Amino acid sequence: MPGKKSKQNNSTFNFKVGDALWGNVFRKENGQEQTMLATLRKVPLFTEMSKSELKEFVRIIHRRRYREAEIVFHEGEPGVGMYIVQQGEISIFKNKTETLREQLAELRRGEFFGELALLDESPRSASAVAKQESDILGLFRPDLLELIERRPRLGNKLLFKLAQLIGERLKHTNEELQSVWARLDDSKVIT
Amino acid sequence: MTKNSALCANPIKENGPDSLNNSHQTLTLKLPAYAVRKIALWALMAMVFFWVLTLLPALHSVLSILVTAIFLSLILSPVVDFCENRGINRGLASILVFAVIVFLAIAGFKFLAPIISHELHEISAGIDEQSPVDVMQKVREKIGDSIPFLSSPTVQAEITKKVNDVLKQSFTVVVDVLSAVVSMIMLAFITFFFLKDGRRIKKTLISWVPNRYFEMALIIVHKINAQLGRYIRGQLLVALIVGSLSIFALYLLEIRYYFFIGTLAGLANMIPYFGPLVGALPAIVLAFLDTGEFGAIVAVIVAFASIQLFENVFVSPFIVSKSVELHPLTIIVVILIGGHLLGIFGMLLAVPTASIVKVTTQELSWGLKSYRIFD
Repeated sequence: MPGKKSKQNNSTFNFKVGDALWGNVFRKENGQEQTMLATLRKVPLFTEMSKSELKEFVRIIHRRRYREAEIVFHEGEPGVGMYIVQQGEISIFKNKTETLREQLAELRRGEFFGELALLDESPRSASAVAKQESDILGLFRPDLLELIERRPRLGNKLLFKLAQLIGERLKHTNEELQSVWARLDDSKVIT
Repeated sequence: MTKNSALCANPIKENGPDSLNNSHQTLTLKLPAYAVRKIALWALMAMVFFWVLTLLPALHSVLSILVTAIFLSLILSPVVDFCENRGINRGLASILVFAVIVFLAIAGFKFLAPIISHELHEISAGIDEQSPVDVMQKVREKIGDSIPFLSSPTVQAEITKKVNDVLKQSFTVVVDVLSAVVSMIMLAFITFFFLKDGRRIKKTLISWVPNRYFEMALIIVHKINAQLGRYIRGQLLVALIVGSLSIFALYLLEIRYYFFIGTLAGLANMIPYFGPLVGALPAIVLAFLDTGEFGAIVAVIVAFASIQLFENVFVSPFIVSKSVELHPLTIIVVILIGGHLLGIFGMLLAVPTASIVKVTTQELSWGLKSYRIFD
């Protein structure tokens, strides 16, 4: 029955092509979703969330691929949201002069940056550039606001974690500042 | 950027005072590279805009369905969101919303059927008694008594020709009804998918934008979506209020077919400036035909003017988003263009489309500056 077989193959082929087309255009591949979920689980902001809650975030998160040395955002640009490194390496730096730049951090898988932009549209305080080909996940303020409207409890959960994180950082900065003041006092630079 | 443009805008300044003394020296205006890129971009945008304009009439029916589906999904999305918030899957929520709409349509039809059939019966009885030509003759006579210059032979011939045209067109009604049914089914399907997968479609469209413009595109899409949604839902609510008030006012004034004319007035109100006039006209004509007195016309005009005043002062400012406000001249021009390209449908779409263009231009201009695209 070669004819029947080829017909069967054809229909399978057509179905697969149709499904793949639909999947490429509108559906996220399951594997990609799993990778995104695995990345999100490593981020402190999402650690206490259930799988279904994480899936809700996967729906609004944008995955972007950056080439080596490609700028993610420039210092001074309006901030729209935060990024999570899924794969590769991102360098955060500040421009000291036109030619001199100071590297502030190097971020790898599971680390995130630009989270303050989730709260307001203030300009980015530093620039971000891909040190190698990198996949990063972007969670943006308009999507988060929409999520807060749709699922307030879930939105608040994230905002509460974000507030905790910022509070911890503030505490850490205060401690550092106090230690700097103490050292300055000891060295009698300030009288 | 400003510094560069200031230097290059005046070539005399750039060449220094010596160039003024040298009469043989030719002055050349050197445009900076970013300006050339900007001009090229604007030229390209203008070309695309005019190309789309020329395509619009050819794609009329497809575009009408697609755009109506987008507008319907924007109207219905808060209801689907509400169901989704209560833990119902989005696909199921979309089906539920559609089921409720169908139920309401059937129930509404059952409730309104007696009124509609009564009014239709009266209309058909009127047509049986007098043919449309007779009705027009009556109108002509009444107008002729009041405004003599309109009863000239040329005007009469024009009116007769128009009435004959209308009668000829009535033969195509059956075909139109069939195509309308097909369009309605397609519209329902497309709206359903926009409701169910709208967020995913939006995300996919944004994913095609290059990294450099991605954040800017994201903001623009969200702002357009939010403003358009607010505007359309607001307009619909205003139309409902104006329609109800018109029906009530016409009922009090004992105008025949008050329900149809009031509904028409509410729907027409969605077209700024022209809409209220179009909505009031049938009521004025009917009042005049029934009574033949100018007092009745004045009463209808006063009623519609009061409704408009109430709408403009108390309803619209609180319901329709202020952010899509356009200059009255802009509104008139875009409505005329919309009407020319797509008829009544184009007039309805003109203001939302113009507001999309306005928001896009504003945000694009803000984005190009903020994200230093041309630096």
